Formats: sequence, structure tokens, C-alpha cells
Amino acid sequence: MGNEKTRTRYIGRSIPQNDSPLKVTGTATYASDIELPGMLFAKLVTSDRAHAKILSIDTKEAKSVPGVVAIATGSDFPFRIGIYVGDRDLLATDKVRWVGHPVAAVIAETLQAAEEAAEKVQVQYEDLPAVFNVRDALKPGAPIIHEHMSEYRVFPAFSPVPGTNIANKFVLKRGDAKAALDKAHLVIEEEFRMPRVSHAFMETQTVVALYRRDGVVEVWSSLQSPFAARYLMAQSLNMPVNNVIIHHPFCGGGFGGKAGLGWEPLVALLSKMADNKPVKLILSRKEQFVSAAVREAFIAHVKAGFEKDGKFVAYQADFIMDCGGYGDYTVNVSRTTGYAADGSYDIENLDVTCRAVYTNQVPTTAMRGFGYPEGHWPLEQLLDRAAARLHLDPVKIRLVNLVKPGESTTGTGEHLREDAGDPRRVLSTIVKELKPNGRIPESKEPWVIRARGFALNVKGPSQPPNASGSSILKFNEDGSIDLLVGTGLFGQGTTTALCMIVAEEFGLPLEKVRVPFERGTDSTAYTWQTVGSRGLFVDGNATLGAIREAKAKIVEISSQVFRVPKEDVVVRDGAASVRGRPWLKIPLSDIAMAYTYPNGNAIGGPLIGTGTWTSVLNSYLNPETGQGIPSIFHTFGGTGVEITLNLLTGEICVEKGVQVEDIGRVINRLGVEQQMDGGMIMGMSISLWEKMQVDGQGWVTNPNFSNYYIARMKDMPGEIRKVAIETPQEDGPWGARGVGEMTMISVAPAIANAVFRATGVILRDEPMTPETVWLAIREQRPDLLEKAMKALGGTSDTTHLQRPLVRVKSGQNETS
Amino acid sequence: MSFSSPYFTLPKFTYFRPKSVGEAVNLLQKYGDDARLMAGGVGLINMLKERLMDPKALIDLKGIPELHKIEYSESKGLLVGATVTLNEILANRQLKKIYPALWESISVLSDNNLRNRSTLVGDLCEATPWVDSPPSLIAYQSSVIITGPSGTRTLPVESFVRGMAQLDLKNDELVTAVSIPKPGKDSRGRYYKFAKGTEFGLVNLAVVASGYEHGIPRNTRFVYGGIADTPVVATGITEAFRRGVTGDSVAHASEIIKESLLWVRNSAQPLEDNLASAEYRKHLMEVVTLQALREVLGVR
Ligand SMILES: Cc1cc2nc3c(=O)[nH]c(=O)nc-3n(C[C@H](O)[C@H](O)[C@H](O)COP(=O)(O)OP(=O)(O)OC[C@H]3O[C@@H](n4cnc5c(N)ncnc54)[C@H](O)[C@@H]3O)c2cc1C
Repeated sequence: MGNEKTRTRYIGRSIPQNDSPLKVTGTATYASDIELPGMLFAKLVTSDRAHAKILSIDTKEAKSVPGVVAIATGSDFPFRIGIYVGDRDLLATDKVRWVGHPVAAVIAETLQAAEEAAEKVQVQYEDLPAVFNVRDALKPGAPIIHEHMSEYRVFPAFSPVPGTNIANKFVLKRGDAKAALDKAHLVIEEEFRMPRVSHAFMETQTVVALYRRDGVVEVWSSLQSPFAARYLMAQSLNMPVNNVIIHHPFCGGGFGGKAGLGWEPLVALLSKMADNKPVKLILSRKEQFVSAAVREAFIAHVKAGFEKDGKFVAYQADFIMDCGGYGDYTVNVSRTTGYAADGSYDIENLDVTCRAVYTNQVPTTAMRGFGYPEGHWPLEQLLDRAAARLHLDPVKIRLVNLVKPGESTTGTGEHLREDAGDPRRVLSTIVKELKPNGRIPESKEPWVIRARGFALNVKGPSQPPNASGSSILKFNEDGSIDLLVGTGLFGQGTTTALCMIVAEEFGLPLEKVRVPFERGTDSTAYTWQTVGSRGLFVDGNATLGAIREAKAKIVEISSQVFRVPKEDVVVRDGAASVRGRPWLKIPLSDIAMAYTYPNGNAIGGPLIGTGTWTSVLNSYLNPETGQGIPSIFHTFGGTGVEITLNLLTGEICVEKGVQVEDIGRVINRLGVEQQMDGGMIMGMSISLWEKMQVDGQGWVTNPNFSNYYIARMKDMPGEIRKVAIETPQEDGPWGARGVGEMTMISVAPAIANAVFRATGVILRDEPMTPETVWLAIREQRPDLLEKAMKALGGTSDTTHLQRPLVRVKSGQNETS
Repeated sequence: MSFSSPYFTLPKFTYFRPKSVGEAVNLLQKYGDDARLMAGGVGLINMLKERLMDPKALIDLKGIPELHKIEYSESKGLLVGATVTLNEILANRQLKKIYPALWESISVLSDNNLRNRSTLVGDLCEATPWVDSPPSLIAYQSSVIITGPSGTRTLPVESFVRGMAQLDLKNDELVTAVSIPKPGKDSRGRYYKFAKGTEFGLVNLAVVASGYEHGIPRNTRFVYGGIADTPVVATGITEAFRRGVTGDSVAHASEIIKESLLWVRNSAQPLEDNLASAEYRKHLMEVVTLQALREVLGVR
């Protein structure tokens, strides 16, 4: 078992996702499809102030709307929740912290009544000074957004600073960055920024909850991590964990935004309030934008020092993240951004600080990439900048600095295992597929240029050191298998890959292995969360454990039946047989429920295998230096792009993409390619267009997909090349590492690097919208803009127009 | 401009589906300002969900057969009834040749789903700055046909659209059709929509040119959308072309380009919103104007 490269039946093949048929036929059940007898509807009332004391909430008129059952306000739920910092109210108590902060929830018999009543809830506020950007929030005397920070429950890895707006401060230190910068041959100092972006999942957050009269709470929720939600909910409601049952129906996208705990406890308590009737809450798209959590914004002030030969000797980086009204999950994004700021490079001297700072903006949470897109945006641009300044090739400078698995230690002091991956091969593969130095075809229009650029990436799951997973494998009468795993299913394809592993290991046809799609915490195996690209690694390893256990039982029984030593029994092709005597063979269906001898005696019993996986290597990081082992693996990869850049308008089009990841071992090739396509497109959309816009009062002005633009079909690159490199990792399932998030991380810097290579224009801000790119060109290369305008005919002198329309001589009309 | 709604449900109203224009006018008379007309409903339903309006009566025009007509004749040009959808117009390939600018402006309008429901008249009556059809309708010198209790009147689209969501329309009148005259024989037309990373054009430009002499048209209309509350007709550019050709046509074309750009630089005052700054819009206007000038003048 494991990573020997034998001929395989499924591993490495392309298998369509097993949840697709139900999705494309419209028969998959999502949380919003759940209807329970007597179900009521909830509607949020949200704040129209950025920061204000709640003086009073008048619900009288709202309650008079026919069909209204109850109206909850913050004082009904006097406690806080959160995964890493317990700073969230279920509904605002005492004060509101951003425009969109839920203040009350109406429960009514129909959605119509709930919405009508929600409009009639009157809230009196007294405005408090608000703060909308991190720099202001850090100033002495800034309005404090969480006065009671010192009372919050904080997970051991985090360090909020009470009395300030700092929700977490993380520090990574190695060597002496300051001294090294003083001595460096070249120092680049720069500031980079990213705005808030939405996860833009298709299905908005939806929860149905039933607080049963026996004290058990059942929840159907569009979420990623049923078990984490269960635990956090039980903790916040002060209930036994097994009194909370989270059902996990199909989930229409998560991208991190549905990790941790969402609206589940609120809706559960609304159900309790409503005389134990089930209650449903569906967020509208606008609520999803302004009342739920999005990806944080940041500013990074960086200083990078290089030697003449390109050696990256020192990196000083100060990241300030705007986590908005709640820091809940973002504190861990800030920790990860900090410890991963050195990317795939061996930098001797590091001094990285990352602070998550409260502001009166929409709160934030995890998102695909989780701190790595943040770190890579500056880092991968700095390398291309340094290369240009040192007259080196961007490939060369990376070769000088890339970590060497087996030799290097990461910035947190982790010795990189020999089989961690092959970043050099990633790089050479990008070069081969993209040909960054090859001839680039000229475009037809002189004001449009074609350019190529690339960037590397690395990522590991960011999780508590003890985050574990388990798997239960049950045989059925006909030898088919139900696989119980707790990993969430929201389009990433893990369950298909797990079924492939099981089918491969037992030599069964894939159709005989099934993961039930709709699962609950009371009916499936535990896994901590479905985040961080950990699913296949953790749950795959747990499943291999379950396979091992079931196989051992099969071997035990068959060795008795055949009267041979256990070593002689092999399990393959859906049967147990004896090595060298293929006629001695029992199909697994004959063992599944108990093997029956011809005389009717039986041995064995229903076959079941269980497996678990926990990392034994990880640790908390040292609070002063950030040293320790945070990740269970690192996946190395990179992105190349060929773009066209319209110098006149600043438009960037991605014409071609190259995605390379060293994922250890391909389990489902189609699944890997889908992640690579998806990562490319999502990365492109976020880096070119997506941005939540906020006005001076803290109102989001584009809370919808007409004005918050996400990539459409017409924006797709003509071609995305996808290469999976396979350097197997010994402790990965079949040698595999995770790949889901990695594919998105380096898209943005690859695009910026392409622009920089072709024009020397530096892009410091995401998104690289036409207007921001135009401004950057105008400011940094006005000559290019002028030339382009001239080519179009837009200067006072138009005599250069190459092929004039029509030349008229003595009234003749001849077209040229 | 906000299309998303905190609400899933609609406010309460009475739904009417009249069978004739007369019946619709009667309802309008009865309900006055409390009535709202609906064609495809694409814009309207969003506005209702946003609670931007609170009508007592919703009058759905789709049950009126005479409004669902699209007719073309050499003499009268094109007549598009109030419930003809955008895709129904696009289905008529012949129109692409006759009205290229209009055809293009409709074909780049949002996506197929939306074009299946949206109507040309509805798009026009929504009268937001960024809708695509009004500039090309104006470039083709179209008129709206309006029916009310006292009969029918006809109005150029230019004067019909008066401001942001403001029409020259009384509360007991409705638009029954748009009439688009046949353009000159040698007419050329183009529609430009600058919408990279946006749903709506930051700058839209419909151009129609005809009356070519020595490669230079005498009659042109450059109509910009997305830059002000209502479409802007570039009178300065029309003037520059009108003068006709004297002497060397190349030098003359250069003059026209120069004057047109001057008009953009000196006379255009594009708006600023969360999609783009005024400065960028102005720059885009220059770029798109130059592109259109090259097209009209046949410069490659
Ligand atoms: C997601 C989205 C994207 C969009 N993208 C674009 C785009 O790219 N380009 C673009 O141009 N537009 C766009 N729109 C706007 C859309 O095209 C218009 O909403 C639509 O064309 C309106 O047509 P309708 O038939 O649905 O009109 P309705 O929604 O039914 O009506 C629109 C308005 O016109 C009034 N009205 C309708 N018929 C009449 C009549 N006969 N007489 C008088 N008043 C009348 C209604 O009362 C209402 O105020 C977009 C809209 C959405 C929701």
C-alpha cells in the first residue's frame, strides 16, 4: 500500500466527480431545499451605522405584522462566539460595529411577513466615532472597537492586545534582518495592498435549525466543516457536544467563507425562542456582502535586501490586516501570513510582523489561500524587481534562492523533509510551458502589447497542531462499501478521490464505493475541518488506516478458511486469494457479513475498518519568534501567464495560463485539473477586478454581482496548461499532497510580473483594474501612453497616420 | 446604482394583465402615480425588491398582442413594439446590416438570459445612464410612440429621456413602440462599450455616419452613454463633419479628428461613480472617439 508506482486501475486517472450527476440534474439537496413541518422564517435587521451605541430597539410595530412569531435582539443572547478569538455577538449587543451588523432577527410564519416586519423594527442609535482604515485604527486615541477584549476567550496561538484595536499580533524572526539590510547590495522598499473581496460562492449562507424539546439541536447548514461547527456551537451554547447534530447537505461553494462557525447558533436559538419550531435563515446576496464575513484587506510595508548575485538576504515586512468588526478567524490568517511570508525561498534574515486590526468595516474570515495570496503578492513581485535591478533573469534569481528540500529550513525553523516536493522542477516546468524568454508574438494593434510573467507559490494547511481526522469503512452484503468521512463537500472533489483510493486498494469497481453525500455529525466520522487543502491528506490517510484495518480482518478470516499463513493471503480484485494458488479465492461479498462454511458454520462478521490520522510533528509557534512547525505538508507550485495589455485603456486580458503544482501523487487527474482551472480563473478575477467598495460612511456601495464584478465566460483565458509534478511524500496518501488553494495563490503576482517585465510599470494594488493600470502607466511610463495615443491618432499631429483613408486628387475618389 | 436586495419578497401590489392598450390606459388613469408598467420585469423586479418603489398596481404589458410586434419596411424603417425582447430583435439578422450600431449595442447588453426577457422599450424607459440601447437609438434618430387618454404622440428619443430615470411621460401614458427610421444608403454604424471588469459600460459610444463624399461622411452622430444622466450627443463632432470636404481629404480628415478631440476635451464632463473616475472616463472618451473616427473615416 502507499506510493509504489505500480499499474493502477484508478489512481492517477481522470474520474468525473461523483456528486456531479445530482448537481447537473438539479436533484442535489441544498440547505435552502430543506423544508420541515411547521418551519418558520428568519430575517435579519441590520445596522445602518458604522459605529454606534444602541439606545433602544422598538419592535412593537414589527410585532403587529400578521404572522410574526418573535423578535430577537442582542440582549437575548448575552455571550460571544468565535473559533480563535471569541469576539462575535450573535446579534449586536450594546453597540454596532459596522454598517450591516445584525441587530435583531425577526421570526415569522412566512418570509414575506418576516421581511415586512424587519422593515418596521426601529433602532435608536447614538453615533460613536468610527474608524475605517487600519492606519487610523492604530493611532493612539483611536476609537476602540472592542473595549472588552481582555474578557474574550482566546485560542493559545493568538495574542490580542487589549486596550488597542489589535486583534492579533504575530512576529516571525530569524537572524538579524536590520543588520543584513544595512549591508545588502540592493534594498527595495515598497508598499503593497489588497482590498476586501467576497468569496462569491453561488449559494449564500443558509441555515435551518430545530431546537428539539429533548434538548437536542439539529442543524442543516450550508457549511464546510460540520464538526468544527458542532464543537464551537456546543461550546458557545454550553451544551454537550453530542446534543448538537449538524447535517451537511450539498453546499454551493465555500472557499473558506463557510469554515468555522456561521449563523448556526443564532438560528438554533431562534428555534428555541419560537417554541421549538424549525427556523430557516437564507442570506440575500446583499446580506452576504455586508452582514457576513469576507476576505480581509491589507497593507504591507516591505523591505527586501539582495546581494549582487541575487541572493535574498533579508526581508522585513510589516503587514497590517483590516479584519473589520470581528477578528474571529482572521487572527489566524494574520498568523499564517506572517509565518509564510518567505514563500518558497531560503531567506536567512527575517523580521515579519503581521497585525490583524479591528475597523468599522465588514468583518472578515478565512478564504482560499489563507494568508498565502497575501504574502505572495509582495514577495513574488520583489523577486522580479530585484532581478531587473541586478540584471538577472527572473528564473535565475529564483534558482539562487529557492529552498532545497532535505537541506533547507523554512522561516519558522522547520527542516524541510527530503520528499517535500521539487520547487526547481516546478520552475523549469513553468519555463518550458510558458517560455518567458521566448519570442512573443506582436499584437495587431500597436497600443496593445503581449507579455509573459510568472510567479511561484507554496502552501500548507494552517490548522491547530492537533487537528485530526478519521474514517470508517463499512462493507455491505454484496461487497460494496460505504465510506464515512466527515470532510465537507462543496465542489472540491475530495470524496471522489477517497472513493478512488478505496476502490484501488480493494480492487473493486468504483461504483461499489460510495460516500453518502448528505451526512451528519452523528452519522459520519470525525474530521476537524474542511479547510487548508487538508482534506485528501488527512482524511485520505485516515481512510488508508481504515482500509488497512479492514484488510487485516479479511486476511485473518481468509487465512483460517484457506488454512494458510496470513502472509500468503492477498486482497485484490475484490477478493481474497492465496499467493501462488489463484484457485483459492473468496470474493469479498462472501466475507462481508461473515464467511459461511459449507456446513453452515460462520466466522467473521460485518466487515468494518476504522482509521485515524493526527500529525505528530506539528507544534505551536514561539510567540516571540514564530519558530515551530505549523504545517503538515508544503505544496510547491507556480503560475505563468501570457497577457495582453492595452496601454491606452489599462485593460489586461489573460490569454494563456500555465499552472504547475508538485502535488506528490495525482489521485484524480481530472480533479487536479479542475482545481487548476478554478484557481486560475478565481485568481484572475480577484486580481483583476474584484473589490468591495466602501464610501466615507462605511457603506459598501457594490454589494451585488452587477457592480462587484466576477469573471464571466467571456473573460476566460484561451488556454490553461496544467501540469502536475509528482514527487511523492512518504506520509501522504499514495504520496499525495493537497492542491485546492495553491492554484490561486500566484496568479496575481504572475500577472503583475508580466506587466512589469514588459513595461517596467509596478502594480502595488489589487485589483489591477483598467483604471488603476492606466493610472500606473500614466504615472510611471507616460511615454508609453503618449506613443500609444499617437498610434491611434490622438495627438495634434496626425500626419503620421499610416494608411490614410482616401486620397483625393482633383475630385477623384480612390481608396487606398 | 444597486441591484441587489436585502429582500427576497416583493412588496404587496395588485397585478393586472390588460389585453389592450386601451385597457392599460384605463388602469393608468385609475391608479395614476400608484401604477407601474412592466415589460420584461428585469429592471422593475429588482427595483421592487430594493423597495425603491411601492406601487399599488402593477400593469403587465405582455398580454397585449399589438405591443408584441416588430415590423420593418423600406419606407417607415423599423418599428419595435413595447414587449419585443432584445433577443427577438437579434433574431432578425437583416437588422444587423441595416442598423449595425443598434444591433451591436443590443448584442453586448449583459447576457443571453437577460436578453431573453428584457425589452428594448423597457431598457429605454429604465433611463439609467449606463443602459446600452438609448445612445444607438438616438444615433439613428429614433422616436418613441406614446399613447395616453387623449391619443397618440411621437417624440424623439433625445427629448423623451430627460434625466436619471426621468422620462417625458405622463402618469396616464405608456410607450407603445419605438420607431427607428431607415438610415442613409451608405450609412455605417458601430457601437463601442468599454466594460472590462464591469457589467455596464464606463463609456459607451454609438456612431452612425452617412452621406460619404470622398471618403468623408457629412452626416454623423456620435452619441455617448454612461457618462452623464442622459445620453450625450456630440454636437461639436457632428459640426466638424458637416462642413464637407474642401481640398485634400487627408488633411481634412486630420482637421476633423483634431476638432472632435477638442470637443471631447473641452466640452465633455463625464460623471464620476464607484465604477470609474471622471478623469478616466474622459480619457476613455478620447480613446473610443479616436477608434470611432478611424472607423468612420476608414483608417486602418
Ligand atoms: C444583472 C443585470 C445586468 C444588466 N446589464 C445591462 C447591460 O449590460 N446593459 C443595459 O443596457 N442594461 C442592463 N441591465 C438593465 C436591463 O437591460 C433593463 O433592466 C431591462 O432592459 C429593462 O427591460 P424590461 O423589459 O425588463 O423592463 P422592465 O423592468 O419591465 O421595466 C423597466 C422600466 O421601464 C418602465 N416601462 C416598461 N415598459 C414601459 C412602457 N411601455 N412605457 C413606459 N414605461 C415602461 C417600467 O415601469 C420600469 O420602470 C441589466 C440589468 C440587470 C438586472
